Amino acid sequence: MYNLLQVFVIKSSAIVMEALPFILLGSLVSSLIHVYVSEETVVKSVPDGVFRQIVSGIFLALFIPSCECGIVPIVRRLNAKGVPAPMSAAYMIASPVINPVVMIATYAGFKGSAEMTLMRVFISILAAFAVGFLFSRLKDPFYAVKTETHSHGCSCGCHGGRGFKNVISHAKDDFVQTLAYLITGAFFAGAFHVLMPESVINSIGGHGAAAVAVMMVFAVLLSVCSEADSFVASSFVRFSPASMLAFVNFGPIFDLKLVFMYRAVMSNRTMTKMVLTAAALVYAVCLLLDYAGFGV
Amino acid sequence: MFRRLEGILLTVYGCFLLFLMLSGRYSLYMNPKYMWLTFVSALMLLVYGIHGTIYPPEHPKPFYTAVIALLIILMLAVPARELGAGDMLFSPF
Repeated sequence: MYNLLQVFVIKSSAIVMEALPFILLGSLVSSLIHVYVSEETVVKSVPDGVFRQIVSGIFLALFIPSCECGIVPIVRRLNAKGVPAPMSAAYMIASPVINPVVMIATYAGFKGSAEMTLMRVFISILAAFAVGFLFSRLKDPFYAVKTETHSHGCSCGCHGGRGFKNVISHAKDDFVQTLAYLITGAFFAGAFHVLMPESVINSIGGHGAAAVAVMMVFAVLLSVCSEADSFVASSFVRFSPASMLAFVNFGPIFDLKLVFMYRAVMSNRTMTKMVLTAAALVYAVCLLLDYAGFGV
Repeated sequence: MFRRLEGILLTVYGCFLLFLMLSGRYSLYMNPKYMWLTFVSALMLLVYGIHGTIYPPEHPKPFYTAVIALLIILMLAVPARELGAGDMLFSPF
C-alpha cells in the first residue's frame, strides 16, 4: 500500500514539476501583458470578423508560445484586455502545438517524421478554427475577470501602476491559481498511473476506430505536457500513426489537469461544448487518416 | 498569518526543489536533463514566495493554499526512494 502511495506521489509531483516552468512563464507573460499592454492597444490591433480573429489567434501562438499548462493565465489576461473570445479561444487551442519548441519536440519525438509534425500542426489549426467559430456563437464563453477588490481588477495585494513589484504581484496571483488547478489534475492523473500501468495500455494496441478512441482517452488520463507527449505517443508502438496523432492533438486540448485549469476561465457547460467539438473533429480527421493508411 | 501562508508555502516548495537537485534525488522524479528548467522554476518560486510573504494578498483563497500545502506535505511525508533489485518483483497487479 505504501509503495502504491509512493508511485502516486512521484507521478503526481513529477507532472507538477514538469509543468512548473511553463506555468511560471505563462503567469509572467500574463502579468507583463496586464501591467504593460493597455486595453486600447489590444482593442486597436484586433481585426474585424470572426475568421480574421481566429487567424490572428493562431498566429499569436507563434509570438506568445506556451504549452497547455501556461495557457490559462495568458488567456484569462487577454480576455480581460478585451481580446474577442474567438481569437483567444483559437490561441488557446493552437498555442500548445503551434509554437517552435513543441514543433521541434514533435519532430524529435516522432524520430524525425516531418509528416507527423505537419499533420499535427494541421489538425491543431482545424481544431482552433472549430473552437473559434463555436466560441463566436456562444454568449460570454469566458468568465469576466473579477473586479471585486480594488480599481485595477484583482486581489493580488498590489496598488496598480507599473514596475517590477506589480509584475511580480500579478504573476504570483495568476501562478497560485493555475498551480492549484494543476495540482488537483495531477492528483487525478497520478491515480490513473497507479491504477493503469503503461504495460497494460500498450497491450491494447491496434488500428481503426477503437485505437483512435482509446488513444484519445489515454491522452486525457495520462495528462502529458504537449512538449513531451510526442515521445510518449511514439512509445505506444502497437498503435497506428493516426491514433498517435489523436493522442498528441487531443491531449493539449483536454486532459485531467486541464479540466480543473479551464474552470478558472470558463463554465463547465462551455468547457463541455468546446471539448465535444474538438474531440469530434480530432476523432474524425484521425479516423480518416487511419483508413487512408497514413504513416504506415 | 494565514495571509502570509501562501507566500511561505511557495518559498518552502522552491527550497524543496533546490534540495532535490542538490541532494541528487531529482532523478527519482524527473529526467536530469530537465534539471536546469526546474532550477529556474525553483528560483522563481523563491521570488514569488518571498514577495508573497512580504506583501501578502488581500484576499487569499483557502482552496488554493490547501491544495499547494497538500502537495508539499505528500512530497515531504512520502519521499521517493531509490529502486533496488527487489522492486522488480513488486507489482500492484
